[in-house]
Amino acid sequence: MAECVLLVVLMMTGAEGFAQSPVPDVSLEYAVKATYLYKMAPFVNWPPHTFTSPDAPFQICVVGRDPFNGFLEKAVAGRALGAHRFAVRRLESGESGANCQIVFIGYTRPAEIRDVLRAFDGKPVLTVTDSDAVDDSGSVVQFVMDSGHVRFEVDNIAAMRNHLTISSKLLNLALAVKGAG
Amino acid sequence: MDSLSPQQRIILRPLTTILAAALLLLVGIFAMGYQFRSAHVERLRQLTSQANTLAASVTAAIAFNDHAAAQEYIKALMLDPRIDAVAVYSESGQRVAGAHRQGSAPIPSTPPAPGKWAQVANGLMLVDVPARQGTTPIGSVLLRGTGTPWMVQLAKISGVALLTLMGALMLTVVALAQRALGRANADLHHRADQLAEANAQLTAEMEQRSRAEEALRQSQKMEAVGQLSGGIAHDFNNVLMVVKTALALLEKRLTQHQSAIEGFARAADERLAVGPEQDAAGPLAVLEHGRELVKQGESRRQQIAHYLETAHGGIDKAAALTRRLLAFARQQPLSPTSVQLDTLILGIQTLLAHSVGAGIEIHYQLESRWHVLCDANQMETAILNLVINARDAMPDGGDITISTLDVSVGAEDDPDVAAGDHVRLRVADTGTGMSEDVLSRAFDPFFTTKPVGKGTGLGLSTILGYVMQSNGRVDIDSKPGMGTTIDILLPREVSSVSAEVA
Repeated sequence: MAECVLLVVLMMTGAEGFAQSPVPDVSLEYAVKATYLYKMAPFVNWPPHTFTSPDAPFQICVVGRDPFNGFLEKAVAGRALGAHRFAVRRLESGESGANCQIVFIGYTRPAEIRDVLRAFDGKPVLTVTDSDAVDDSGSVVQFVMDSGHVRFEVDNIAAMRNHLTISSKLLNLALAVKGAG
Repeated sequence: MDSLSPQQRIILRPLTTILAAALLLLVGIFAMGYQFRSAHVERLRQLTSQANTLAASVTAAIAFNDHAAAQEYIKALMLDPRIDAVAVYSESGQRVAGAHRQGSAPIPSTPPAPGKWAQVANGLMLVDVPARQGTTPIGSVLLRGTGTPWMVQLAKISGVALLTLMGALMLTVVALAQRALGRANADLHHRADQLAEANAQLTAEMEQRSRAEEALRQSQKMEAVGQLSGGIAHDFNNVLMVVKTALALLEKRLTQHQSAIEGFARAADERLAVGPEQDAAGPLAVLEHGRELVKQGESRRQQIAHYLETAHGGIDKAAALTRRLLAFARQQPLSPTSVQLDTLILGIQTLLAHSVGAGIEIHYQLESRWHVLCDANQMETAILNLVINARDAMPDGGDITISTLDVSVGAEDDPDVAAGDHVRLRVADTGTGMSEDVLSRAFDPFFTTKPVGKGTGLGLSTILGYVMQSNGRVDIDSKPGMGTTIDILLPREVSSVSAEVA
C-alpha cells in the first residue's frame, strides 16, 4: 500500500528523466536516486589530479547491495562530465575503490557502512548512503525520503575531509546540511 | 577666400553656418535612429543577462527536479515588472516551473525551437538560453519581457533631439548674428572713414588757426614795437625840445651880446672921433658905456651858463633813456663784479629810506652769505626801482620787506630753475597788489599803472632785462589787496667760494 502511494506521488511530481522512456524494471524511487547520483557530479568540485588522464572515465561505484538492478548503467549511458564519460562499477567487498569518484553504499548496518567510509576517508570520493541507512551515517550525501519525494542531506564536514567542494546550489536543495557555514 | 570681396565674405559666412546647422540636424537624426535601434539591442541584452542569471542559479533545481526551488527563483525574477513570463525546462524539454503575468499569453510547455531570440506581439521579446552546470547541460530557461516602452524611447531620443535642435538653432542664430555683425562692421568702416575725413579737416583748420595766431602775434609784436617807438619818440622829443629851446635861447643871448658890443664900438668910435678938445667928457662916457656893457655881459654869461646846463641835462636824460632801452634790449654794457648782496643793500640803506619817505617802513632780513656776479650799480638801481614801485603801490603807507637768502635748488625741485646754489633777493610790500591782467603785462616795456608823467613803464622791464643778462630770473607774485612780492634769483658766484673758504 505504502509503495503504491509512493509510486503515485513520484509519478505526479514528474520524474521526467524516464517519463518518456519505457518503464524500467526498478522502483521509481531508485530510478530517481540513480539519476540523482550522476546529476550531482556537476555540482561537486573534485580536487585536481582526481582523474589519472584527461579522458579517464567518471566512475560511479556501488558497494554492497545494488538496488538499481542495472538501471544506473542505462541512466548514465552516453552521458559525461566534461570529457569524462560516466561509468558504473560494482565493488566487491575488499576490492579497492581506487579511481571511484562517487561511491554508493548499499549497506544499511552502521558497522558495514563505517567500514566502507573508513576505506574512503580522506580520499576525493563522494560517498552516498541510501535513505534506509541510519541517520548521520558519516557519508557525504545521504538520500532521505520526504513525504514521498527523494531528497538528500549533505555532510559538508565529511566532504571537506575528502577534499570535495560542494556547490551552494546543491546545498540549497539539501534537506539538511551538516557543518554548514 | 582672399579673392572675395568683404561683401561676398559677409554673405558666405552665414551660408556655411546654415549648411553646418543642416549637417548637424542630419547627424542628430542619425544619432536618434541609432539610439532607437540600440535601445532594442540593449533591452535584449538585459533580458538575456537576466535569463542567464536565472539559468545559472536554477541548475540544481532542474537537475534534482525541485519545482518549489525553481518556482522561488522564478518568483524572484517576476518581481521585475518588465518581465512578462518565465519558464524553466529540463534537459529533456519538460517544463520544470514557470509563471506568466495575468492576461498575457501562457508559456509553452516545451521550449521553442532553438533560436537566440524572437520578437513577439505587443512589443514583447522572447529570450531562450541554455542552463549549464559547468560544461554539463542541465536544461534551458525561457524569458519573455516587454521591450523598451515608447515613452522611455521618446524621452531618450528627446534629449538628443533637443540638443540637436538647440545646436542647429544656435548655429542659425550665430549665422544671423554674424550677418548683422558684418553689416555693423561695414557701417563702422564707413564711420571710421568719415571720422578720418573729419580729423583731416580739423587738422587743416588747426593749422590755419595756428597760422592766424602767428600772424596775430606778429601784429602784436609790431604794435609793441610801434608803442615802444612812440614812447621813445615822445621821450626823445621832450628831451630834444629842452635842448633845442636852451640852444635857441643861448643863440639869442649870444646875438644880443654881439649886437651890444658892435653898438658900443660904433658909439665909442663916433664919440672919440670928435676929439678930446671938443668933447672933454667923451672918453669918460665911453668908459662908462663900456663898464655898463661888461655888466650886461656878466648877466648874459650867467644866462648862457644856465642854458648850457639845461641842454646838458637834456642830453644826459637822453643818454639815460638810451641806456634803459639797451638794458631792456639786454644789450646794455654791464661790468659784473663779485657782489655780496647784503653788503650792497646796507650801502644804499639811507638812499632807500629817503626815497620812500615817511609813513613807510623798510624791514631788512639779510641772511645771504654767498656772492653773486652782477653789475653793482645796476643792482642798486634795480633795488631802488623795486622799492619805489613798492612805495607807489602803498599810497596810505605800509611795510616793505627786503630779504636775502642762500638757497640750494635740487635738480627735481623746480623745472624752471637750473640746479645749484642761488641767492634770492625778495622785495615784498603790503600794498594794493595787482590784478591778473596787470600782472600778465607787468614786464611789458612802457606799461605802467602810474599817472602820466610819473612812471616811464620801463622799471620792471629794465630789471627783467638786467637780471636775465646776469643769468638770473625774476618771479612776481601778487594779488589785488594782498601786496606784491618780487623774487630775484641769481646764481651763486662759484669763484668766490674758494675765496670765502680761504
